[in-house]
Amino acid sequence: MKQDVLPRMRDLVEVLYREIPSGVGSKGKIRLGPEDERKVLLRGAQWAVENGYGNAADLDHIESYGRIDGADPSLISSKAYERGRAQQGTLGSGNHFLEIQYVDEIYDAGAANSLGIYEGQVTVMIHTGSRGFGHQVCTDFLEVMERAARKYRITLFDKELACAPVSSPEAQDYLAAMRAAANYAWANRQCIMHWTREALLRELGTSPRELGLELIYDVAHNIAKIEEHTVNGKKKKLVVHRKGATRAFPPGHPELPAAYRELGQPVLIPGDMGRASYLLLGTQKAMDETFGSTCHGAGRVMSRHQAIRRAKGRAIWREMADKGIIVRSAGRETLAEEMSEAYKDISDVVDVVHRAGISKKVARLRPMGVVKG
Amino acid sequence: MIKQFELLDVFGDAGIRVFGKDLPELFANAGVGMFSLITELRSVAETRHITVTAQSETLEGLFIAWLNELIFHFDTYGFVGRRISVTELTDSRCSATVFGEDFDPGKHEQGLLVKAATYHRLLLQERDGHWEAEVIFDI
Amino acid sequence: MSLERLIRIDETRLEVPAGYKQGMLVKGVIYVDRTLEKELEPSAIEQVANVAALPGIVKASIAMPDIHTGYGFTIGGVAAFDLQDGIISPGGVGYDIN
Repeated sequence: MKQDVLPRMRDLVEVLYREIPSGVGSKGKIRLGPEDERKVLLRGAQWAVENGYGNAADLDHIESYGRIDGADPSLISSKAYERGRAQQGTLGSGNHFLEIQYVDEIYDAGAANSLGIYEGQVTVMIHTGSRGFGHQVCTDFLEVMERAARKYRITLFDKELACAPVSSPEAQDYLAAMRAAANYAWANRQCIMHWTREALLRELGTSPRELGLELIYDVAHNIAKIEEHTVNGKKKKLVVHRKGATRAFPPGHPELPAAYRELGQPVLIPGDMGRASYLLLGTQKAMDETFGSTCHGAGRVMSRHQAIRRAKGRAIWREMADKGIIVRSAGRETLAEEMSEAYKDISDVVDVVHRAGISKKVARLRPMGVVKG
Repeated sequence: MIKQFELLDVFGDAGIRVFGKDLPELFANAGVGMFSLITELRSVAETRHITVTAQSETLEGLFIAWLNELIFHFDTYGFVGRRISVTELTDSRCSATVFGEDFDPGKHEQGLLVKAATYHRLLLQERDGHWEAEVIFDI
Repeated sequence: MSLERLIRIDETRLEVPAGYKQGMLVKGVIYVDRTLEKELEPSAIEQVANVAALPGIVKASIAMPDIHTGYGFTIGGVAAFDLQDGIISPGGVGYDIN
């Protein structure tokens, strides 16, 4: 419960800041050899669990069970391999975070109950991705696709829309490389979650059962997937691109694990570090209208620059502390750039998707301790 | 001395406007400008140097590939450069020696973790006998 | 300049009509209410329209209420393509894959 950890928040944040590598130039605790890295790319979070980072039961609560098929490590450049070697199990920087939160409001008591969520409960949220590895894959393939778009005579309004026909070797290669990066990201969060559990167990001097830190869900928000959707009354396979959008599959969807089959897919919407985050569920309406997708976060309203200017002469960490939120960050300006005012209010964003019916609110989570890169 | 580069106020990520009397200087200043987003360059010593080569089919492509090559060296090996000498620059190829040192969280202030140079609103032009560029980085 | 104006479909959705920009194959749909609509960047609307012009796009170029200008595709964007005549684009996924 919230009141059990609140007095210890400063220590807990400090320990997590120490245990989870974050920020510029941070070296992971994992050093992947070439063969290990290949396994990460093929097996994702399953690799992590097989190597002692977490439990097999976690995998059921990860989108695509933490491992998407069709990844091809042979399509990864030596640069991406090199860049990914020391970054597995690192948080990164910018808007990535690790938060200790508490459940502050329940909107759907039945669903919350089924998910084991209750008011005052302590939760942890992790927001990070495939780190430098994924960036290198994207950089490599933007070059490939730029040439491909010319080759296949696709007219583009903008160079960054570079693309290739689904069946072309360029597109298929990108898809296989992107899947490898997706698996890298799932492994990354799995490792970080494992260390978070270990650190909290040690710090709170409790048992795994008592701590009860079980994975609710792990979901992607920058990915392209081949999925079946109904278009004009006909079932059709499509390639769905979600960029800053979260999968929100409805109750009954065959891709959901048994535990969530009747409930619908849990959706996590991280907000800025001072306000809140949300737990939602996917709906049939999302399936009908948005290819089973919903929002992913708050979205900025201020540039980094503007935010830094606005924060001049202020101690953001102290303002946060006054609100009861302990923050820790390595970056010189991270806290200024990431302050609440720099973002849309997440509640406004979530309200729209809830009212539109493309996902439904289950609970709101408030931050108590924040680790930033 | 004329200005090497300045920061752009862009939404979301970070960008720089770069100046150079010719293309080699423009490329060098762009590299230094990019590193300046990562840390305070005054604190970076020239303890070692690396050789960097980039290739592409177009000048714009080369400019982006060059910056991404530097980002690769930073993000993979932690190398931060403070001075760049471009040794070869053609329409499709750029080679340079970059002087600097490895990022040390104990010594260097942490700025932005630059992850990629993008084509977004990329500007690369010759004006009144000088070169100017604008580039936005993914953070 | 846009050819046609945005249309409010209902309290939570805004349509970018297929006639908004030449070359659009489908409409755009942005999930915003009247409050968030005020924060919509013109460049982000343009990007929703650009994506609607990509070959084989199905139904609509969709954007979520956390929409903002990205590289090529908006952040907060969803776009589905036909397997026969559609495309795959790294810009539709972004740099931080997954």
